[in-house]
Amino acid sequence: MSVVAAPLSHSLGGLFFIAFLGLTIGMTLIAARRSRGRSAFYTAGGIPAWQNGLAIAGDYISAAAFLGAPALVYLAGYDSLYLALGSSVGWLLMLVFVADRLRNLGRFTFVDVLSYRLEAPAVRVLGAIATLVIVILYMMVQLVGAGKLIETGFGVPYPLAVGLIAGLMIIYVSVGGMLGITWIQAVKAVLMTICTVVLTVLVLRQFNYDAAALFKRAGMLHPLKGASFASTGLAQGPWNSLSLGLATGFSLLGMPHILMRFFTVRDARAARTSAVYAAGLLILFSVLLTFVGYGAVALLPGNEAFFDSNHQVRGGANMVSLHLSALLGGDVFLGFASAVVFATIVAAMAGLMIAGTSAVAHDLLGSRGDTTAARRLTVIGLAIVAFLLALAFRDQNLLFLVALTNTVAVSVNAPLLILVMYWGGLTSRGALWGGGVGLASSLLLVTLGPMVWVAVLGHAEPISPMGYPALITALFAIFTAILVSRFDQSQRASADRAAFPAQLSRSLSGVGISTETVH
Amino acid sequence: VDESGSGDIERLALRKRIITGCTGGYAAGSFTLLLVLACWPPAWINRPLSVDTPVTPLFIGTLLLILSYFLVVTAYAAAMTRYVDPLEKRINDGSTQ
Repeated sequence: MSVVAAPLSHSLGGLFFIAFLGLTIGMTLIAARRSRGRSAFYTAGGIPAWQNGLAIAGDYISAAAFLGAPALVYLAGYDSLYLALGSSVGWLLMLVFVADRLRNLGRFTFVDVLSYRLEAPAVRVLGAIATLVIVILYMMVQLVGAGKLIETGFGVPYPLAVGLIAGLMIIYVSVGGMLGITWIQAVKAVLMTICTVVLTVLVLRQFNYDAAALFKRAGMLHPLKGASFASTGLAQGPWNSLSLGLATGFSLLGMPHILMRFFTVRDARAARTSAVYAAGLLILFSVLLTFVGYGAVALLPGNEAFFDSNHQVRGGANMVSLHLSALLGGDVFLGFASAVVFATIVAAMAGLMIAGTSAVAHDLLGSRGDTTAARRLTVIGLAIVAFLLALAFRDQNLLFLVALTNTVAVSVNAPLLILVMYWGGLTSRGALWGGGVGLASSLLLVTLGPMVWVAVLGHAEPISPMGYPALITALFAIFTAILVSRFDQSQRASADRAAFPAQLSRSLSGVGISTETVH
Repeated sequence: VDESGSGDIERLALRKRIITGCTGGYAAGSFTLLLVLACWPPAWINRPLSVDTPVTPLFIGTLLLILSYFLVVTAYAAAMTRYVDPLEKRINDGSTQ
């Protein structure tokens, strides 16, 4: 049985990989024939709710989830579970508080919702900047992961691997638009679900489908022993853990590539239905990955092929899902799982890239500048930026970037979106100050915290003790927005407040969007 | 706001407020409570059930909570279909006539 040193170069692994590439390029070409114009590029022209639900799930279930969640269980036991819970809750909150109102108010991006009643140019610039920060950093993390996967899988030099993937992204996004990406993400969500369900069944089969037996063995073999089922303070202390948990849950409400998906369906009802599909799938996914993680704890020890001479997991803890696939499903399943991981990275990057494109071409350039040429140039520009950053940060620990993107999402986009939809007192000035403070404090506190100040810059002690400062930065943003709005006596503020009842009516009923439904 | 004077939009707002309040309140409240319990765990909730059963009440509670969200999603969808969608459709049909 092969180890994960070169999973994709194995004939079956390579076959799965090439099959996925062929399938996605074919879907992109078919989508290109059906997509014409700006609306189709951003919103796919009203796709069915179930397809959108699958695509949303595909957008959200990243390789970090499939590889990272079981790795966290493997390393930290229970503490990984409230992160899984956070993402499940995030979906519920998205479904309940955001999905249908967002659809009723926006057209292409969540920035449309912010500028529905607030002063357009300033708010649009702020929203676009926050979107670009999130999108570029996330794309870079994904690109580094994909580059390393191709490098180790096929023996392709890293720069070439990263360049090829960036080129593939340009084709997917600029040719297939949102429709092509939706199909790719839906296919990926189905593949990922199949992979995870099969792996869970394979794990449970080892214990005659007795979960208690699995947990008992995991408890014996985990370095933390019985404490692997207890809370131990994963993120350096309770406040950090609380902040990380809240950021995991609420950051979803500020992820531009996820929010954008709610504009691809015809109406608010379809937006809700697609959120129900996505939430169901993601909750299921969270539970299954817990079993996969404890399965790795219970089954991998004793198999020397998966450990190096220092008794560390070969390739790092993130590889436990793939090692488990090799152990329980042999080379065929390992090849399938590796191809699914690649598919996951590619699909997530494509979703991020179209969100970034919308931020530049739609939010910043406006309807006059949002031409096909502008969109294509933006796609190419974003791909080049991500490519260069992926080369520069190749050997860096990128954990801080994930923390930073989550912090920005939960401190800028999420509070502004909730406030603008639910609080009539929010003014343009309040939104700008709140969002600005959220963005600045996120960048500052993550930089001064242990993940950058100590781990990246090499200082002995962090200036800010919190590695995950979302709890602080989100509160900064919310209180600033509220305070500035309360004291804002400008003429514009009066107009902002006066426009709220009409916005509320439309967000509740959708009256008025019928003429825009087909975009 | 409701120019038709039928009161449908007010009714819609109330129904949405009740359904989203219950669902969102449960999700946000239970999650926050669990986070607090996980970050400052009382001894009993963090201790294995027995020598033979390493799982803790906190672990079981978390898994059950995740599973309960399945039910909540289903209940929310059913409530919206029954109480909100018809009203929303009526308002939209009225506005387009």
